Amino acid sequence: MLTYCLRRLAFSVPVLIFISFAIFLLMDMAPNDPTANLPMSIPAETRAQLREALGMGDPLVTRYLLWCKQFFIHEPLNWLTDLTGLSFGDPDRLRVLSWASRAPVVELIAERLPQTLWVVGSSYVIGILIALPVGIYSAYRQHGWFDHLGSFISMIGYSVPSFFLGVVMIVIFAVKLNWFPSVYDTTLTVTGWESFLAQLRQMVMPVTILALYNAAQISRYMRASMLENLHHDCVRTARAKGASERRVVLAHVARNSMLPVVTVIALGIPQVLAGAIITEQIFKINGIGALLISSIQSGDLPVVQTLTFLFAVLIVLFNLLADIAYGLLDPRISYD
Amino acid sequence: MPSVFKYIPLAALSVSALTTAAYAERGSQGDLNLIYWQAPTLLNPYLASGPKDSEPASLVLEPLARHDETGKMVPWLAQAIPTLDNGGIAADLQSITWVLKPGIMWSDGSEFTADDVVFTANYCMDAESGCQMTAKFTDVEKVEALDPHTVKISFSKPKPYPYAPFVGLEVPVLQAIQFADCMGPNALNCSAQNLAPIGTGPYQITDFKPGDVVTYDINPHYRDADKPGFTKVIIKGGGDASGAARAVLETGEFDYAWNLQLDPQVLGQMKSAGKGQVVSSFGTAVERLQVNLTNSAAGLGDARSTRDGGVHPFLANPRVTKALSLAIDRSTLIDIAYGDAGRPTCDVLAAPAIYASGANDACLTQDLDAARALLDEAGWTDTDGDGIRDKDGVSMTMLYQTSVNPVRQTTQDLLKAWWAEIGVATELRAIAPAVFFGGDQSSPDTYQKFYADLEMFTNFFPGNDPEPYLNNWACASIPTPENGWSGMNVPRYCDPDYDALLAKLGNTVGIDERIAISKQLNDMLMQAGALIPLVHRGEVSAHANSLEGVRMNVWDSELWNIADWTRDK
Repeated sequence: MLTYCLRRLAFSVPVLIFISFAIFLLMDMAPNDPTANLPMSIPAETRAQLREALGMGDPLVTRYLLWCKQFFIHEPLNWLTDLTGLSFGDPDRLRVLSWASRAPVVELIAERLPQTLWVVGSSYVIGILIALPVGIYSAYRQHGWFDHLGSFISMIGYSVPSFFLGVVMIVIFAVKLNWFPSVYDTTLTVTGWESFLAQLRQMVMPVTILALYNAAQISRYMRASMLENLHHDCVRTARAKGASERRVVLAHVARNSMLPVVTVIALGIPQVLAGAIITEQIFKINGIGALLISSIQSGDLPVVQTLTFLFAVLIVLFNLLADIAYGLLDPRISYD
Repeated sequence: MPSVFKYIPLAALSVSALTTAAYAERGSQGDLNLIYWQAPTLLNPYLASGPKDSEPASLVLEPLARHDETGKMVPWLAQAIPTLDNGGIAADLQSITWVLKPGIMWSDGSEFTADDVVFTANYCMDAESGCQMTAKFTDVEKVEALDPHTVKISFSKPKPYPYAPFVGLEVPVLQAIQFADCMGPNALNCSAQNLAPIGTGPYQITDFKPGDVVTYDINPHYRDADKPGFTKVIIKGGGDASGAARAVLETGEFDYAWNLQLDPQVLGQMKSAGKGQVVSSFGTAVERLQVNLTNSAAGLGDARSTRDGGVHPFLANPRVTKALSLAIDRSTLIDIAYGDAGRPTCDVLAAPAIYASGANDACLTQDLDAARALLDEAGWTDTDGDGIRDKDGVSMTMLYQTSVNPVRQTTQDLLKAWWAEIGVATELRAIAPAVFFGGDQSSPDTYQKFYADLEMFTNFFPGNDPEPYLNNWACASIPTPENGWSGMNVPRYCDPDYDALLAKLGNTVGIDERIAISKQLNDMLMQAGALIPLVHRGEVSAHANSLEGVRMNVWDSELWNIADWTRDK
């Protein structure tokens, strides 16, 4: 198992390097200009100087290698310095800086991560917690009223876009009823009961929307997988042996049905960290998703490059985790 | 009788509200929440940034003089506006001398002196710094401190309008000590300084999350002991204009929302909730059609959209552009797409009011018959019966492009319909703003390459001197492949008479004469049909009913007088 993991990890290094270069090339070829959003009164010579100062005049390979150096060497060293308090090498080494804000990209991401984890993360957990029982029971009582209701709600969660649902919720709960705020306050720190309640209040609407979508998606997978397994011979055998229905469904059917669902869940986690672009925009959560979209719009290459690369790392990593989880759930699968 | 008494408590209340406002103590007004849906990312206006950054920076960084809401210059960190009369401007027009107010402190407690002003000028004039405000320092030869409170700016040639450096929100004074290590190429890497500059303004930055939120508290060393009124200010970013408007006008979560270019119906509906007010102010911005006077046919290769490629088959004829302009119902366009944020105009130099020509106002009323007659006169008739006018085998079909923006797409649709009524066909195109306004040489879709017949965007000039703006249409400013498609003369207009008049403007001092020449230049552009002005655009913001003291200002920062803002309790 360990050798398998190490082999997979070693193999992912060239993959990731290739991905990072591919992203860099794509971004470079895209017709985008970081000075495009400046006021029109700024003359062309100044714009050219600005692009020069940002290093856009250097050849592609130089810029790519510089990013690699800053990201793979300087940033980890800075992190070690912060962590241990010891100093490693030149303290003035250049970090990956955003073009739009001139702030280190890693710090920008660190600032955005808490709200994304709070909102998107908790909606994912809640979504899973709803989806699994719903999926299991819908399949067990297929064509029953619960199954129909579940199908109906997941159809809504799946097909109604969040930009519509979000605005409808704001109009009802923020404008008319005044229950929840329509703007997410990122400066709020949870220090006691009152601030915790405030945090819950501002999370209710975005979390509901995202959890509904996640639950809709995962419950369908769970249900389909359960239906497939309910008719296996081993289930009949278990019933014939006199096992209780509860044990048949949970231990024999549900456990076997979890396999494909675990893959779906594991592969969905990188998307959690990537944020929810539209929902974040509607509720002004300013998480990772909002950072990505605003960077794309302003042609902020270093931020887009770093973010997309981190997503690639996460996807590779969670693919590996999904494979490991297979081995744990299904003894028939062995990697040694 | 009872109805009279009913009003007495109310009147008493409002009087007491007035007195609290007048005698407000520093920090007595609580918290102030502003929403800038385009989130600020950088608080140093000298580096790549737009109004979304320079306005939040204006709470902290201040210039020597600002413009008030009428566009008039008011001394800010300086004691008075230097003029020829008070000796602040040298008789040869080659220097201007500013005298600073005494006793002004930076928020860290150190003294503000002329050295800071000198430092800021050198900081921006360093070619390697990536300073975007270099145009404000054009022809500046030297900036020197005559004594700790006197700064002299010398120019390399006589400057009839010497108020570019250190006037307005884009060119404030930076603290020399804080930015000492940020000269030249280091300017862009000074993250800590650029994200939290120390200033002389009413507030200081306590926390800034780029692209998200800025938090301020009171500058303890602010010059006026009674101001500012609000203790803490938060500028939140993110979302879109309608969300920002809703947060002020409908839910009341925020006190002020900036830049609300929204569908007038949407804004009107939100306003009816009664929680806030919409304010607008008109500056120099004009939404206009740029007419390609050169041929944009794809078959021309490298000569496409250049003067070498020859004139446009029909748009180079002023009769045709006049007809296109007459076919537009500007008032309807504004009712549908702009609302409070627009006024019809027929001049590309529409403001300040003293500069507005008004000689071209015939286009204000739509006249389809006159437009058709003009096209007939020009020899363009529908000979093949397909509903589109043609001449010598060329059909009157135009490609009309602009950036992706709901208001612009609505405008495109309306104009297309009106032009169809006079027998002109239009093909519409919308391009992503980062591409359209970007300077990417390899992209065929930039506004400067102009591979189309018409294109639409807004331009403006900061401050109240139109000379640099009128320079945009000099022959030398035409974008060509040779100059890397730079230059703002997008219509490719070139008239030696215009250039001669521009040169005359550059050497004219008297304000009346400057106004006369500027109007004449505007009229030449209009009569040649290089541009078709559509809408004089204003800035629209909204504030809560309880917020007092807002003096909406398009000439400077909207937050220019934030120290005077109070809350009606």
